[in-house]
Amino acid sequence: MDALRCLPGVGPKTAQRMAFHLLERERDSANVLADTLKTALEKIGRCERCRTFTEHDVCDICSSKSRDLKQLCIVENPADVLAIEQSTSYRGYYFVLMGRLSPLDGIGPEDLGLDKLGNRLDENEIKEIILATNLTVEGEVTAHYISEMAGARNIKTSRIAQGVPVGGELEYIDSYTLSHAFESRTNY
Amino acid sequence: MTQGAQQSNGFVLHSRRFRENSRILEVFTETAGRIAVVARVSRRKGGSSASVYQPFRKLSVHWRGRGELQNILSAEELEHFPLSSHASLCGLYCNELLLYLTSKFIPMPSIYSSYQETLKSLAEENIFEPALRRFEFVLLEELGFGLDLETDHLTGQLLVDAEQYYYHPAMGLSSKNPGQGSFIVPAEAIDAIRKQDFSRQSNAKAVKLILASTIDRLLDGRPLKSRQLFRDMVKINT
Ligand SMILES: [Zn+2]
Repeated sequence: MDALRCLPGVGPKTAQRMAFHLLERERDSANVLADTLKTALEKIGRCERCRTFTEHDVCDICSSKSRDLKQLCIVENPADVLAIEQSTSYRGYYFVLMGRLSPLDGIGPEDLGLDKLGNRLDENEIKEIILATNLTVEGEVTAHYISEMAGARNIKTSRIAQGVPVGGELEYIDSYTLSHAFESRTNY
Repeated sequence: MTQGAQQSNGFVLHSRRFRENSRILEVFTETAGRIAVVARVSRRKGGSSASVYQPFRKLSVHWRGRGELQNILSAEELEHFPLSSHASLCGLYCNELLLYLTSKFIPMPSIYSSYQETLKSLAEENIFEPALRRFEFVLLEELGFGLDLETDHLTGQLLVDAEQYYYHPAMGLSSKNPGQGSFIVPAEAIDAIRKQDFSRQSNAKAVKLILASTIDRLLDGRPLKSRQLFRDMVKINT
């Protein structure tokens, strides 16, 4: 029960209900769940190119040859990639920070793989960076930092803008709003 | 601690997740000093409170509770200081200073109004350094660590006129070299701080060093992460 409580939205009561349900009625499913979790933990790692979760060394998007090499979209979380893929017509590549710069939480550039991003920008293929970090203060600081990295390499940057509510996180925004915000991104 | 409901205007300095639907907010209030409050936050579609609890927004906050952690009853946004790109990092720097240097539950009205002025400047002006220096200056004054710019700490006498002085973060100014831990500052920089004129470029570096080294002494070795981020950014461009 304690183990289940690590899941978001699961309090003590829910954890108890889930545990009893699995043990009493769904012992087979519980086994499948246990195996799946174990395999996932063993097999799923980080993409070498974009840092998102993947079963391979390089994720499906990064290994696709049909995408636009010139565009790179920076997001905070893997869920943001899915949200953008589902809601927009964006066909470039991604870089997933797995967080955002937050000096007051002690999260710095090295924690977000920005050195790795720097190397990628040095490859000279990317012509535009789309800053799709959340419209929070930390998301803004992160966008600013990356725009400086891009500026030092003469790469154009744009930032998603209208529509996304301030304080909002991309993952929770409806697809219309996100799609609009993406289309109306502005120079940054 | 008092138990009845309290109200003050204030700014969120920092927030962190707490359980699934809540955040712990550090709020710098006008009349009750720095407080920590628990707030429920809706992250779902159409959720509105997430934006209210972003930094750099003046809120009217009602809270209740006892001990270290209070509960927020309501928060209403009164004014928003939109800080973009570099200004947002400057704002976080001010927040970090307030988090580390102010004590909980002690009202600091002068620091509060200076903080608000600083956010206004950061939002409206293109140069940020003078606003940051003024805030650092007020912070030191109000915390009881104001700079003594009149006394020579080696002699105990009034500082004699000179082209330059030595500044030691713990001891202050002297006209002769007091040894380790001090650095040379031009008289112009001292004069600028006396007049609280932080806009002159010519002595900006020395003024910054005097204030920063004094703040560092108060921090007692605790590094400022936002300042480190400033430095990392300077490195990008060199
Ligand atoms: Zn990838």
